[in-house]
Amino acid sequence: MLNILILASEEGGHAANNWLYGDVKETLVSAIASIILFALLVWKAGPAIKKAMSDRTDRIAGEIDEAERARVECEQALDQVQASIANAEGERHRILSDARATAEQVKASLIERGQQEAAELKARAAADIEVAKAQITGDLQAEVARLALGAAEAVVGNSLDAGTQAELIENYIAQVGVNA
Amino acid sequence: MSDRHDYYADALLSIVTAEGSVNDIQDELFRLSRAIDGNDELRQALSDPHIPVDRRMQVVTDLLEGKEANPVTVGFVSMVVATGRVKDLPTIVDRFLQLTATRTNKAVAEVRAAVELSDDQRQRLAAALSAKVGREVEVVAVVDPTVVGGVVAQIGDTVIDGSLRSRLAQLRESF
Repeated sequence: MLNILILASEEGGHAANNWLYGDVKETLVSAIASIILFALLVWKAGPAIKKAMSDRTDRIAGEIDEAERARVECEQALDQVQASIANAEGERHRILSDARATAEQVKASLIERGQQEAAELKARAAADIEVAKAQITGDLQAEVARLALGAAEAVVGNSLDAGTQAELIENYIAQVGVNA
Repeated sequence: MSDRHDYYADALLSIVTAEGSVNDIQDELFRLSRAIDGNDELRQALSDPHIPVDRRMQVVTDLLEGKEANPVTVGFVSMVVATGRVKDLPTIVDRFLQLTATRTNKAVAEVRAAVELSDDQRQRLAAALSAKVGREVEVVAVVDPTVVGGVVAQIGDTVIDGSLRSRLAQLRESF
């Protein structure tokens, strides 16, 4: 049908030669053909174009949403970082405070232990001194006794005359006889 | 105790039994053996092979003759010195005393005193010791100045110590 319209326009094309629209028939036919062609285009390609446009709109909307979400996340992260920065100072103070408290406890503990050890050492030294004193006293007593007895032995040995010796022997004999 | 000591003790006992005077010989041998045992210098001199035997025997003779020793005692000790067995003399004498006591069924009391015991004291001491141990006791006595005073008697493993030395030692221990 399009070919017929084209042939008809070619046959009647010579009737008027207006510089603006030419032959009216030809123009009419061309217009109808164009309308038909446009209608065909709208009818056949319209849905696809619509769908493509819709998809593109959806995609752009999705990208915009994604960008918005990313922005929100970035803002949240930024808030967190800013909060962390704000908390860092507090944390530093807390750590320093804890460290000072721990140091004080350790110091007190060390001082207490040192005092305890010093007291124990002192007590042990005092006990050792007492033992040494007792030992020295005992040794001295024993030495004095030994010297005194040695002297007494010498005196006794030299002072025993024959009569005393005989008496000692008689006493011994009598003692053995008594215990028999 | 070795057999050699027993041989010497047996031979000595046979001679002493034949000659008599058992108590005197026991006493003399006991005193001499204890003197040699307690005097290192004397023991070394009597056992020194570099000193002629005649000289060593003369020393023994001088030691015993001064106390009018029994000839059996002098002869036996001289023989021991001549054979170079002076160090064995205390053991031989101990064995001899044991054999004598066994033969006569008597116990031997080794008695130490600071001074010489009289015969009367020895007899009374023997009687007292016999009553104590329940059998006849023969006393062999030796003068030991370390006793200081009193008497120490030993019968076998039993020691009856009544010396001043032990009393002084007890006093020392009490300090």
